[in-house]
Amino acid sequence: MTPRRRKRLTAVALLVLGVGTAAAIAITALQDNMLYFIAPSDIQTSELPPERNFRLGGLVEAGSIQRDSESLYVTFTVTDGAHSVPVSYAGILPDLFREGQGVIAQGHLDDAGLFHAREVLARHDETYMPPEVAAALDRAGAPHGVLE
Amino acid sequence: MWTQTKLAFHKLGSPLTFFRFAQALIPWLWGLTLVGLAVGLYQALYLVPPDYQQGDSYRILYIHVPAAWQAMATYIVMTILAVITLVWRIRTAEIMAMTAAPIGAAFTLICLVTGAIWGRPMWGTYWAWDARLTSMLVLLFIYLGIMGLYAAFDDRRQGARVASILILVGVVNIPIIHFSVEWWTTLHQGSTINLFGPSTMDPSMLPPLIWMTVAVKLMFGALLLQRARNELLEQDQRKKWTLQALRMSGHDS
Amino acid sequence: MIPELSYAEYVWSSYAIAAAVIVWQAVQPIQKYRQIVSQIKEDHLMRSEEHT
Repeated sequence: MTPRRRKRLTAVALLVLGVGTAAAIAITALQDNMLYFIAPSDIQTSELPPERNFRLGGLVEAGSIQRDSESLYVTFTVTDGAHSVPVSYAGILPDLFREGQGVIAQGHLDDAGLFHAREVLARHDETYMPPEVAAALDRAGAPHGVLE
Repeated sequence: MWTQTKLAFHKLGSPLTFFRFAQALIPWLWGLTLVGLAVGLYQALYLVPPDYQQGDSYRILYIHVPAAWQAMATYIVMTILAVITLVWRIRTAEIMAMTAAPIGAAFTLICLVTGAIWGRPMWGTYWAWDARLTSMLVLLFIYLGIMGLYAAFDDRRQGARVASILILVGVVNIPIIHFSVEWWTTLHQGSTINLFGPSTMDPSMLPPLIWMTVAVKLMFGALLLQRARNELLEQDQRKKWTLQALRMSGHDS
Repeated sequence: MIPELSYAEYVWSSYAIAAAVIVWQAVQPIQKYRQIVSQIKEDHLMRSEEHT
């Protein structure tokens, strides 16, 4: 390698290193803002905005869904295993919304600890399998489709 | 071995050799691409079973995921070419680095659009400003920025060098895209296919993903060689070798 | 239509959009190539006329 090329290669390496360091610092500083949702267990430790408006993420607890028979009003509990938060919502739920499904609710937490959702999104997990395989796993009692 | 590789590398640096290499390879790459797409689409749309949760909607992933992988792979190829451009100043590398950008942008667009179409019924929204979706959108803008910067220079070679610096700056976004679903909470699900570790997709659903991914890679190769060949001819249209090259590929009249 | 292929409209529309982008990507360089080839030929003809 000629000295000129070596010099250019050094410059290229320094450029990538510099930009990489800058990005790493920026990402670390903005860590909290990069989170799309907060899990029930993290509510206490997170700095919530003053009007307690944020996105809550977790699994819909089994047996917690209660639908109003005359309106779109629904209540359910979002859990991450350790803690859970009751949620109320009035509106159309996504196709994937069901018990045990990952959901992200945007809204605010009132003083009584009830989360009033304005929007509910389903969070799909990364498992893909045919229905027969899922049924076989169910019969065997093996877990599948768990939101990490 | 090393000297032979080095020699082949330098030979490809000559416009005429590159042109002939491209002309010979393009039909093969397109032929194999079409075979791969045919098998992949047949499997993706007909052969594989539906998903236990999403039903048939998950079939979108057979275009979404290969497009996303190619969007990122294109950028990695461009980064390597950008280093060659800046350090060794090989002209064919410069041209390939620049002509890869619109192809990468196209695959990024496919990824974003198919993801949005899938997101509406599954998530309940077309778009969310989570780390994965946002960093992918940033990738599209980086591609457009590289294209714009290159086009802004009258001196193509100088433009390629300046745009190569932008390629190197933008490469930080690639690990961010990849790790976004691990570093932060996102609406987008985590990685299904893991090269190092278990994948969370039933083996019966994997073959179309592999076929489509390989087909997309071959297609990228064909598109890149076509665009690079065009750019080379256009830049050198007043040089003697272009006419000689066209004669060789049967364009004389 | 084959009953097995009666997927939701958005499944087909996402495949259609991807196909459209790919066709556009494939056609663009072919047209460009034709244009450059004819340009080079014209250029050469003009220059050879200048010489005679």
